[in-house]
Amino acid sequence: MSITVVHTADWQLGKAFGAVGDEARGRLRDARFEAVERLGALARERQADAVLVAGDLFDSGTAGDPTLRRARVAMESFSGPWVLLPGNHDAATAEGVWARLRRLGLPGNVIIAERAEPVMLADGRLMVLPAPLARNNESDDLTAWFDTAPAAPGAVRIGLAHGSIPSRLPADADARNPIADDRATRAGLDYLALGDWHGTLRIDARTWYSGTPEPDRAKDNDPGNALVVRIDRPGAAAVVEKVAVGRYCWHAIRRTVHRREDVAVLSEDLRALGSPLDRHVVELTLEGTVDFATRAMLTDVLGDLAVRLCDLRLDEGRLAVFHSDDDLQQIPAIGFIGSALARLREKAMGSEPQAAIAEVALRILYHECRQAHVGH
Amino acid sequence: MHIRRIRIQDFRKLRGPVCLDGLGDGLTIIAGDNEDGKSTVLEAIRAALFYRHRANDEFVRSLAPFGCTGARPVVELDFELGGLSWHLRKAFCRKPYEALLTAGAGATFSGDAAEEELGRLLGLPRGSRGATRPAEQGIWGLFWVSQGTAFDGDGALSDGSRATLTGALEDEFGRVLGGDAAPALVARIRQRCDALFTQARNSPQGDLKLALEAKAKAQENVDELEAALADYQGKLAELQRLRAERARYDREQTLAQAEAAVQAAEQEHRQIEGLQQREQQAGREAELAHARFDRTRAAWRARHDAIQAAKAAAEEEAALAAELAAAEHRLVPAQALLAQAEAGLEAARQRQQDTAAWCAKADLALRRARLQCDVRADSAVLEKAEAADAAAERAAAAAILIPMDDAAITALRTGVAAAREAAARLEAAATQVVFTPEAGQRVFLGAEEVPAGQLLRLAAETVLRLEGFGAILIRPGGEDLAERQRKAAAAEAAVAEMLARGGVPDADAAEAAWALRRRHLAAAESERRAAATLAPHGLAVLRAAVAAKAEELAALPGEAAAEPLADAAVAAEAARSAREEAIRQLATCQQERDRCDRDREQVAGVELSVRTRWETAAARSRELQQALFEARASVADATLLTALKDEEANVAAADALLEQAREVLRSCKPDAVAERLAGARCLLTETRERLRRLDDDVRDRQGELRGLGQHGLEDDLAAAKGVLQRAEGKLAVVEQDAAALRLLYETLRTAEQEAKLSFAEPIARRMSPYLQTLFPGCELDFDSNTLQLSHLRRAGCDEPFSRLSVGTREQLAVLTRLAFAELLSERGQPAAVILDDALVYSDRSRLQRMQAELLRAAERLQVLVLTCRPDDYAGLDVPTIRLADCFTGEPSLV
Repeated sequence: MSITVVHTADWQLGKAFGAVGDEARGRLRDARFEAVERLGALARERQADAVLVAGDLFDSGTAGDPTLRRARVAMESFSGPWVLLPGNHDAATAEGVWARLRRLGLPGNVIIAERAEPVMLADGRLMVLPAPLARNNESDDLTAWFDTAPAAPGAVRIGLAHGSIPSRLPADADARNPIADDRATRAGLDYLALGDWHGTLRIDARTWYSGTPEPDRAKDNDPGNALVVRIDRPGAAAVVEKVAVGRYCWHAIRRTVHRREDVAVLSEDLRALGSPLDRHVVELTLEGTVDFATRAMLTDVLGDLAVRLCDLRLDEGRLAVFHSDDDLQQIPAIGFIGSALARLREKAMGSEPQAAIAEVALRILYHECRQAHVGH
Repeated sequence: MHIRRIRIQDFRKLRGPVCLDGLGDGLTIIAGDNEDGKSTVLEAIRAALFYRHRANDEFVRSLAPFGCTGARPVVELDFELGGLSWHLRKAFCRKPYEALLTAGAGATFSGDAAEEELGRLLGLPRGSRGATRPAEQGIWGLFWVSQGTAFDGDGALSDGSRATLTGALEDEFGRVLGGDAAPALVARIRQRCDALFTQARNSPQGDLKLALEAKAKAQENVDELEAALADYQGKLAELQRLRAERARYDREQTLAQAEAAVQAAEQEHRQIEGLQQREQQAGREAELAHARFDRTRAAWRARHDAIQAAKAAAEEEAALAAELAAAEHRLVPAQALLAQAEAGLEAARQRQQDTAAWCAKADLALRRARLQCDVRADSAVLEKAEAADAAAERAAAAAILIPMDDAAITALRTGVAAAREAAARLEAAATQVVFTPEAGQRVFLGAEEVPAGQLLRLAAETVLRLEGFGAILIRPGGEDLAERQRKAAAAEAAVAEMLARGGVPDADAAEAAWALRRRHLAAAESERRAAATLAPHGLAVLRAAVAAKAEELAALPGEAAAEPLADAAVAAEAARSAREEAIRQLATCQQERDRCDRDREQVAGVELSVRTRWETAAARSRELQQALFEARASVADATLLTALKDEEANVAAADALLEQAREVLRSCKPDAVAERLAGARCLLTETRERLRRLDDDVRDRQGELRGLGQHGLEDDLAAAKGVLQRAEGKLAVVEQDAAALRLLYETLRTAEQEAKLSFAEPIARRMSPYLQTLFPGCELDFDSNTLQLSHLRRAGCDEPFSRLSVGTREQLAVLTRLAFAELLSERGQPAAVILDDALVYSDRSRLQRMQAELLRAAERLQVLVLTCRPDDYAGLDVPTIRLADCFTGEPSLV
C-alpha cells in the first residue's frame, strides 16, 4: 500500500511585509494562512497520509499569539497528521514559538517534531526522521543521525529537514545549516523533504525543496507550489508532483525611462502582467532622466497602476528629473517671473545640493503655471 | 488735459455767472480773497468732470448755494484732451438736469451718453463717477490738490492715487510686475510655504510637521521594539544557559553524589561517637578511683598530723614553764628599788612647800613698800593739777564779764565806718556858706554865732540870723539830701546803740575792752593746758587712781610696818631662789621614782606574758592528747595505712584503662571525620540551594518569556521598520518640496522687489531735479510697494516722511505731483496740475524756490495756482486772473 505525503515548507506565517503599503500588507499576510488552508484541501483531496512541513512555518520565533492561533485554525483544513519541523526562522528554542503553540493547545493530529527521533505514522507504514533546528544557525549537519536511525521494517522512510545543500543551491543562497547532498542515499531514505529554499527545486530523484506555497518576494525561482509525493513501497522511487497553490505573483521590474513613449510602454507592460492585476506585487526600479512633462505623465500612470496592483513599490533613486526647454516654455516669463525663472534655472545647473532643490522649485513653478493655465 | 475756460453759475458761493477764460498752457495764477470762492472753482471743475448730472445724493445737493433750494448749479468747461477740444456743460440738482459734451466741431453727446463718453475720455472705470473722494477720481484726483490736503496721509500718495498712477502707467508696471498673474502666483507659493512653515518662527507645520512627527514616531516605535526584542532575546539566552546548567547538574548527578558523601561521613561520625562514649566512661571511673584514693590519703595525713601536734604541744608547755620561773625571779629587786625612790620623792615635796610659804611672805612686804611710794607721788601731782584748773576757771570768768567779744567789735567797726561814709556823703551834698561880715556884724545859727570865714555846711533847711540884716532861710537843694541825711542819722544811731550794748562810751573804749577780754581768755587756755598735762585723763581719773591705791594699801594683811623698798626687794629675791631650788629637787625625785616604776612594770609584764602562754600551751596539749586518744580508739593507725595502699593500686589501674580508650579514639582522627562531615553537608546544602535557584530562575524566565513571546515582537519590528522606511521616504520628499517651495518663494519675492524698484526709479529720477533745487544734496526713498515717499535722506540721516514739518511735506507732495504729471505728459497724457492754496505753509525762501519749480514744470505742464496771496507770485511773469474780475455781466447760463 503506497504512502502519499504533501511536502511543503517555508510558510513564513506572520511575515510583516513592512516595506509594503498598509492595505497590501494585510492582504499578503492573510494570503499565507489561506495557502495553508489550500494545502489542507490538497492533502484531503489526495488522501495524503501526512503533510510534512519542512521548517519555517513561522516567520519569527516571536510570532504573536494571534498568528499561532490562526495557524492552528488553518491546519483544521486537514484532519490527518501535520508534521511540523522547527526551521531556522522558528527554531525550537526555550519558550519559543513551539512551546507557546503547545501551550495554546494542539489537536492530536498536529505533531511538532522538536526532537531528533523517528515519528511513526500511517499505522507504522511511514517513518519520518526529523532534523529540527534548536537554533537558527547550526554548523553541523543535523541530518547525520538519519544514517544510523534504526530501520522500521515495512515502513517508508522519509527524512524531514531544513537547511541548505551548498553544492546544489545557487551561489547567493543562504549557506547556513548545511545538509549533505547525498543524505538520502547514505541514510537509505525513500524521500528527503527539504525546506529553506523558497522555490521548488529538485536536488535528486529522492531529494526535493518544495518551496514556499505562497510567494513572499520577487525572486524568479518557481515559488508558490507544494509537492505531492507518492511512494508505493519502501525502496520504490518517489513519484513527485508539483502542484501550484500560490495566489500572488511577485515581480521585480527594472526599467529605463527617458521619453513619454517609454512611459507608455511601461504602462502597457505592467497592465499585461496578468489578470486580475491585484494578484500582482510589483517592485519597480526606474532609471533614466525625464523632463517635467514626462515625470508628470509617469506620476499619472504609476498612480493609476498603484491602485490596480496589489502593491507597487517604487525605487526612483536612479531616476533623474530635469527640466527641458519645452518644460520651461510652459512657464510664462511675464514680469519678474522671467527673472526668477532664470535664477532658478541657473541654480539648477549649478552644484548640489542646491541644484536639486532648485530643480524641484522649477518643477513646482512648472506645475503651478500649468494648473493656473488649466484653471484659466 | 488742458483747461481753457471755466464758466460757473449758482454753484455754492459763486452765484455768478463767473467766467475764467484764456487759461494758457503754462502757469496761471487765479487770485481771490478768502471767501471769494477759489476752492469753489476747483469743486466746480470736479463736479463737471466726475459727478453724474442726474445724481441726487447729499453731496450733489450741497452744490446749490446755501439757502437757495431752488437754485440749479451750472458748470461749463472747455478743455483739450487726446488732441481734441471739448466743451462740457452740466446742470445739477433741479430739472432739467443737463449734460452736454461736444468735441470741437464734431460729435455731440448729451445726457447719459455724454456721461459715458466723458468717463471713457477721462479713463475712469465704469460706475466710479459720482464719487466724492479724490482717490476715486483717477489721476485727476491726484493732480488737483484741494486746500490743505497736499500733505494728507503718511506720504505723498493716497491708496487711490497710487492705484490711479499705476493704472495710468499700466504698460510699464505690467511689464515689470507681470500683470495679475505674477502676484497671484507669488501669493499661491506663499500660501503653500505658509502651509509648511509658521510665519512667526519659521517652524514646520502642516504636512511637513506631520511628516516629521510621523518619522519621529516611527523611529521611536522601532527603537522601542528593538529594545524589547533585545531584552527578549537576552532573556531567551539566559533561559537556555540556565537550562543547560540545570541539565549538567542532572547529568552529573551532583545532588546524589553530595547526598552519598554526607551519608558516608555521617557513618564515620557515628563510629567516632561510640569511641568517644567509651573514653568518657573510662574517664569517669578513673575520676572515682582518684577520689577514693584522695579521701584515704587525707585520713592518714590527718592522723599523722594529730600525732605530731600532740607531741609539739607537750614540748612547748615544758619550755614555757621554765621561762615563767625565771621571770618570777627577776621581779623581786625591781619592787625594792621602787619603794626607795618613792620615799625620796616625799621628802622633796615637803621642802618645796616650805620654800613656797617663805616666798609669799616676802612678796607681800615688797608690795606694801611699793604702794606707799606710789600714793605719795600721785598726791603731789594731783595737787598741782587742781591749782592750774582753778586759775583757768578764774580767767574765763573775768573774760565773760566783758561783753565786747569778737563779733561785737567787728559789728561796731563796720557801723563806725558806715556812719563816717554817710556823714561824708551828706556833707558833700550840703550847701556851703562862708560868711564874711562887715566889721562888727555877726551871724547866728540858732543861738550860736557863726565865725567869720568859717565854712558852714548846711544839709537841712536852716535859718541864719544876720545882725543888722535879719534872718535868712537857707534851704539846701542838693540831690537826695534828705535821704543822705536820714542814712547819716541812722548810722549814727546804730553806732550809739552798739556802744551802749558794749557798755563803752566810745569806739576807743570799745577797742580797749575787746583787748582786755582777749587777754583773759588766753590765760584761761594756758592754765587749762597745764592741768591737762599733769592729769592727761582728767582730774577726776587722777583723783580716783590716788584713792584706789590708798585703798589697796590699807587692805594689805599684816602690819603696816614701814620697811624700805630696797630691803623688801632683796628679801623677796632670796625667798624666790630658795623656792625654785626646792622645785628642781622635787622634779628630780619624781623622775627617779617614775623610772623605777617603769622597770618594775616591765619585769611584771614579762612574767605575766610568760604565764599566760604557759597556761594556753598546757590547755592545748591536753586537748590534743585527748583527741588523739579518741581517734585511735575509733580506727587504729595500722588500719589506716593498709587502706591507703589499696586505693593507690586502684588508681593506677583506672588510669591505665582511660589512656587506652583515648589512644583508640585518637587513632580514628575524629577532627578530620567532623570536617569531612561538615564539608559534605555544606556541599549538599549549596547544591540544593543552587538547584532551587536554578529552578526558580528557569520558572521566572519562562514566565517572562511567555508574556513577551505573545506580542510577536519580530513581526511588529519588521512592520515598524517598514513604516519607518516609508515615513523617512515621505519626509525626504516633503522636506525637499518644502526647501524647494522656500527657494521658489524667495526667488520670486526677490525678483518682484527688484522689478518694483526698477519701476520706482523713473519717478525718483524725475523728482531729482525738483528736489535738488529745494533740498540740495538730499535724496528721496520711495517705497516700492506703496509708491510713497518713505524717507528723506539728509546729511546721511534718514528722516521718515511723517516726521518732516508740515511745510516740507507739503512742498515734497507738490513736487511729487509735478514729477508724476511730467511723467504722464511724456507718455502723451498731458495733465493739468491745480494747486489750491497748496503752499501756504512755505516760508518766503522756500516759496520762491517752489515758484521756480512751478515755472520750470509749467514749461511742459498746465499749472493753475489758486491763491489768496497773489502778491507772492507778483515777481513772476505769468498771467494772473483775479476772480473778482471774472463776474460777468453776461446773461445767465441758465
